Amino acid sequence: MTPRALDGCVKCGACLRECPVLRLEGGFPGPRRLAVEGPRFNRELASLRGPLEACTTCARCESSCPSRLPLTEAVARMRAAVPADSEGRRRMLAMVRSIGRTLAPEGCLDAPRDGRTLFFPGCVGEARTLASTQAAVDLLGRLDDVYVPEGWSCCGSPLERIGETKEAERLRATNAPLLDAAEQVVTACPGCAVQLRRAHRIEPLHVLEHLYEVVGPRRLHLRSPRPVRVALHSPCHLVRSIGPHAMDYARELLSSVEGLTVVDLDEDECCGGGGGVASARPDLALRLARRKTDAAARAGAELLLAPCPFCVVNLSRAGGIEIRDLVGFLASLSEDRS
Amino acid sequence: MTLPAVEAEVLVVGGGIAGLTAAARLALYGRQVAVASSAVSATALSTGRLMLGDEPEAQEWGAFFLPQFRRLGAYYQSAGRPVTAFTNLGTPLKQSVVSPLFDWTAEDREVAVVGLAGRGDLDPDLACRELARSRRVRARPYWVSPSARLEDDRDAFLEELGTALKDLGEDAVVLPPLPSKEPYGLLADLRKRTGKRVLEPATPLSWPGRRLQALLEGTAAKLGVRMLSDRRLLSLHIEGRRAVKAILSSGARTQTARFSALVLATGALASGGLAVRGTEVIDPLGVLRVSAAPASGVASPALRAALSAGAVARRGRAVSATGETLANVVVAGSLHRGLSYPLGKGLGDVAVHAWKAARAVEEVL
Amino acid sequence: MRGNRPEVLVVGGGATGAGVARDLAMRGAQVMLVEAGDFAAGATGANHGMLHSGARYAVKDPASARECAAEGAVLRRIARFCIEDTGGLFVCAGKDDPAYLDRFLPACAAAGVEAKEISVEEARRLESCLASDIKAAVEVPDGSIDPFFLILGNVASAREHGAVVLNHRPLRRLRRKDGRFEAEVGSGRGRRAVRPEVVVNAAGAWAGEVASMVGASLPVCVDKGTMVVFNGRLVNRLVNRLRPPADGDILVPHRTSTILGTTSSRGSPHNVRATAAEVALLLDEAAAILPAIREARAVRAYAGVRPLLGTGAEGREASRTFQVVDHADEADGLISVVGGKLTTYRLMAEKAADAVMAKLGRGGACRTAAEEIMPYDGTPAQDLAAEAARLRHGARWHEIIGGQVSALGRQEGCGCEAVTCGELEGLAASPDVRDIGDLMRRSRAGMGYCQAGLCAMAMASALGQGRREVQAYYAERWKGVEPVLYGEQLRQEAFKSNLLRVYGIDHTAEGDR
Repeated sequence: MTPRALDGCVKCGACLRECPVLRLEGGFPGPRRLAVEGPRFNRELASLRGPLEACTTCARCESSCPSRLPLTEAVARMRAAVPADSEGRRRMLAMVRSIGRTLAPEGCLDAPRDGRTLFFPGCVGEARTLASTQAAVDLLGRLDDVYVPEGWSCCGSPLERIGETKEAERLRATNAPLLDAAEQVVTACPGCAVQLRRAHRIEPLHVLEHLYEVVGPRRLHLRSPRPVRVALHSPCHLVRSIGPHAMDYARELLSSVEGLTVVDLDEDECCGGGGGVASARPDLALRLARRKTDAAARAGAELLLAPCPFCVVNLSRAGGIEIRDLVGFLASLSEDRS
Repeated sequence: MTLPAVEAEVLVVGGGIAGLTAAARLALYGRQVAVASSAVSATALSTGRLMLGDEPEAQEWGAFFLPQFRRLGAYYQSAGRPVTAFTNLGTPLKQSVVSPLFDWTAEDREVAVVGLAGRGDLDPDLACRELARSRRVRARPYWVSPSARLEDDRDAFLEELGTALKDLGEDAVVLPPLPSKEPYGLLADLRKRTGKRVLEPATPLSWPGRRLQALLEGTAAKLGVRMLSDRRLLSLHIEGRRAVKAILSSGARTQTARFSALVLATGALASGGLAVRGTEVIDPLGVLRVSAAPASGVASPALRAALSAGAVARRGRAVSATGETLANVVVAGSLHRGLSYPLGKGLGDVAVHAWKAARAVEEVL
Repeated sequence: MRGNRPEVLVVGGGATGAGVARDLAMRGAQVMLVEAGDFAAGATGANHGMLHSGARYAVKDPASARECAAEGAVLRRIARFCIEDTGGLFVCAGKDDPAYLDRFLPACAAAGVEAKEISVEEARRLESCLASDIKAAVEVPDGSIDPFFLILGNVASAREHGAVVLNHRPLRRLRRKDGRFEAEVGSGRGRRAVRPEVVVNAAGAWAGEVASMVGASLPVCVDKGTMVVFNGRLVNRLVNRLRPPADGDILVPHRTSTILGTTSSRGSPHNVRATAAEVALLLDEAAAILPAIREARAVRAYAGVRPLLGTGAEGREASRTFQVVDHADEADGLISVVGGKLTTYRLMAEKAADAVMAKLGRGGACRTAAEEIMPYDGTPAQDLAAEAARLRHGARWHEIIGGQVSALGRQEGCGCEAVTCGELEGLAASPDVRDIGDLMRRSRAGMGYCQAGLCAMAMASALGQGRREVQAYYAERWKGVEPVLYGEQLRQEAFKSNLLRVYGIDHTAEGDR
C-alpha cells in the first residue's frame, strides 16, 4: 500500500543528483525509484529487491528533497516488504537472537556498572572499535559520572534499516528498563543515538554533544604532542539525524588544539558503511570508502577522523591512510589535570 | 542541555539566490550576517542562467557577483543586453548573464549536438529538430558512449571523449551537463584537447543550477557570512511588531537564533517557503500574510493565482497574518508575492529583488 | 481480403468492436475494423477498469450480474496479461442502511456471484484504511483490468488472424450500394472507400449517429460518468459501497494508482469533461468508507460516456445488459451492438459475431472463451522497468524493448510508470502510433503522478516530434488536471509550469477539442 507521506514528490530529481551510490553506479535506480515511484507498484515489487541492498541510508536525498519526503524510512519499509535473503542478513539475525548484539564483542568494556550518565557502547563500538570506545569511556569517567549497564542489547538500528521490525522491537523491549532508569544517555555511535531517540523517546546525546554542552570544551585540555594534519569525515547519521551542530562542535574542538591542522576535503559524501551495504554489497562499500580515503590522502592528511564507529570500520577497509574514531582521538589528546 | 544560541546582526533564512544575494550585500555593508539554510534550493534546480534587466540594481548585482564567480573559477560576464541562448531541448532562452563556456554566439553556425550514453538531459535528435526551427544554427546529432566513467576516471573519460569529439566536422560542440563540481575546468580541458568550442546548453533540473548554487555559497562564505547549513526555520517569535527570535531545527534538536533584523528568503512552493492547503497557498509558519498578485504567464487562472501568491510586504517589510507590518522582517525573493518563477525564467528578477531587499534591511538597522 | 472489399466492416475500436473483429477473424471471416481516433478512445478508455464479480448488480439487475460472474471467470483465463486479481470487498458505511445486506447476499447467491460475509475486524485487517464505523463487510471476487491493454491485445490477436485493423480512420459516410455497403473512411491521403457485405456498428456512444447514416434507428442513451485517479494504491482490493448503486461507490486499485468512481448524469458524446464539483461529490461519498481519501493526492479526473440501451429508463435505472440489433428491416446487413459492460465484452462480441456469421450464411464456432488473447510471460524480469513492461505487454515485451533503436534506449522515459526510452521507441515504431496520446496509451507513460511532467518530451523524442506536439498533448490533457488542482497536485502543476516555461511551453493552455 502506498503511504500518503510520499505523495509530495514533484519529480525535481534533486535526490538523484545527491545520491552517492548513483554517482558511482549508473545502473542504480536511485532514491526516487526505490522510495517514491517503486512502492506504488504491485506485482512488480520483487524486482527491486537487489537494488534496495545498495542504499546506504545516508539521507542526502532526504535533506535535499523540496517536498521533505521521508525517503530513508520508505527504503526501510520497502526492504521489509521485499526482504533480501542474504547470508549476511541471516548471520546478523542469528547473532542478535543468541547474544542480543549484531557482532560478537571483542572484549569487555572496563567501566562502572552504575552512575549518573549511561554510556551506550553499541555493537560496533564494542566489537570492532573497542580501543577507542574504551578511551571515550575513560575520558567521560574522568570528567563525568559515567557507567555502562549490564545486559544491554543492540539498539536495533541495523535491523530497522533492513526492515526487520519485529526483531528490532524485541531489542527495544530489552533495553527499555535500562534506559528508563538513566538520568542521561550518551553514545559514541550516531546510529545508536538516532535509534534510541526514536525507539525510546529519550534524548540521548552523541559524545560530541555531551562533551561540548555538558562537560564543556575547556575541561578537556586538548593538547597535541606534535604538529599533525588531520581530515574530518562527516558521518551521515551524525550530520543529518543528530544535527549539523555536532560537526560544528567537532570542528571547534579540533581547531582549538595547537599544532593540529584540519584540512578541507573536496569530498563530502557517505563513507559507504551504512544501510547494511557493507555486508550486502562489500564491493560498493569499498568503492565509497576509497573515494574518501583518496580525498584525504590527496589533501595531505595523516589521519582521517570520523565520529562514528561504522564509518571507522568501513573506511579502514579502504587502506591508504590511518582511520581513527574522533572521540577516541580527542580522548588521547585530553590531558588529565585532576 | 541546549545548543548555543546563534547571535547575528542579520539572520537570513534561506540559502538560494535570494538569501545569498541579500546576505552578501549586507556583508559588504559590514553587517554581521548568518544564513540558515536547508539543503533544499530552487536555485539549484534552475537553469543557472539569468536575465538581468536595465535597472541600476540589476547592474549592481552583476558588477558585484560576476567577478566573484570568476574568482571561483567560473567565467560569467554581463552581456548588457538580451542574448539568445539555447536550452537542452534546442529551444531559445533569453539571458543577459553569459559565459564563453556556455553560450552559442553568432559565430557558431554549425554545431554538433552530442548525446552521451547515460546522460538523459540532452537528446541530440530532439534538440536538433528544434534548432532547425530556429534557422540560426545548423545542428547535427551525434552519440558518444565512452566506456570510462567521469566519476571513476576523469582523465580516461576526457581522453575518450576528446578523441571522439575531435573527429566531428563541426567547430562547435554541445554536450549535456556533466556531473562535476568543477565543470568549467572540464569544458576548458575539452576545448584544449579538441580545439573546438565545447558548450553546455541551459538545462533545468540538472548540474548547472547546482553549480550556480555553489558559486553563490562560495561568494557568501568568502565575505565572512556565517553559513548554518541543514537548518530549517521552525518558528518565529514576534513581540508587538518585531520578530525577536527564531527557532531553527538542527537535526533532531532545535537552536535559538537572535538577531536585530531578519530576512526571509525561503522561496515559494517548490522550496517550501510557501505551502498548499486545499486550493490555497499559505505560509507554513502561519506568521505571514499571503495573497495572490496580478500576474500573467499561464493560461489557467487557478494556476496563475497559485504561482503569483506569496508574502505581502510594505516597503519590503513583511506583513503579518493579522495585518501588522513587521518592523524588522524583510521578505526577499520568490517568497514575495508576484515573484514565484524560480526555475530559470525570472531568476534575475529574484536576485535583484533580494539585492534591493538588503537595502531595506539597512534601513531597519 | 481483396483490396477494400472485406466481408465485414466493424465500426468502432473499443472493447466491443475489437472483440467482434477478433472473434470474426478467428472464425475465418474477412474483417476490417475502423476506429475514428485511437483504440479505446470512447467509453472503454474512460471506464473504471473493473473486472466485475457482478455483485453490484445482483439486487437491481440480476441478468447483468449473472453475465458478469460467468464472464469474469472466462476473462481470468484468456486475459491474464492485463488482469490484477485483487479480490473485492463490499462495505457498509456508518450512515448506510445495514438492512441492504439482507437483500444483497441472497441476490448474489441467486445470480451465481460468490459473496461471503466477513467480520468488520477482518475487513479492517485486510484494508487498514477503512473507516472506523463500518457496519458490515462482504468478500467478492472482483478484480481490476486494464482496458487499454485488453483492447490492444484483442487488436493484435485479430491481426494475427488476418483482420485489417485501422485507427485514426473516422467513418465519413455510410450507405447501401449494389447489395453491399459503401463506407468512406479516413481523411486526406489515407481516405479510402470500403465495400463490405455486413457492417457491425460497435460505435458505442456514437452508434446512433452511425445507424442513422443508413437510415436505421438506434436509440442510444448516453450517460456520463466521472472518475478521479489517485496516486498509489490506497487499497489493495476493490472496495465497493454496500448500498443500492449510487455515486462514488467504488475504489479500484489499478497498477500504480487508485480510481474512484463514479457519477451518473445525462451526457453527450461530445466535449465530455470532469468538473471540480463532480470531484468534490466523489470525495464526499468515498470519505464515508475511506476517510483518508481527502488527504490523498488526486492526480487526474476523467469523464466518459456510457452508451446504454435507450429503453426509456435513464441513468442508474437503465439496464447494463447488452443487445445485438439486426436492422434487417431498415438496412439489411447492419448489425448494431449496444450496451453492456467491459466485463462482458467477449460475450457481446460472441453474440454479435454469431449474428454476422448467420448473415454471411457461414458456420464457425466461437473459440474466444477458450483461447488466450495473448500469451502471458510468467517469468519475472530483474529490473522494475523490464518487469513493468512484461506486465504491460505480455509475451511480446521482449520484442518491444529488444528493438532498442538508439543509445537513449535504457534511459528512463517515464519514471512514474517505469517506462524506458527503448520501450517508447519500440512502441512508436508501430504505424498505429501517430501522436503522444497514442504512445501514452500503449506505454502508460504520462499516466503517473507527475502527469507527464518530464516524459512528454521523451515521448515526443521517440516519435521524432518536438515542442509543438508536446504543447498540443498538454493542451489535451489539461482538462483532466483542472478539476483536481488542489493539494499536492496543485504544487506539482505549479512546479511543472515553472519547468515547462523554460522551454516556452504553457501546459495549461487548453486547445480545442
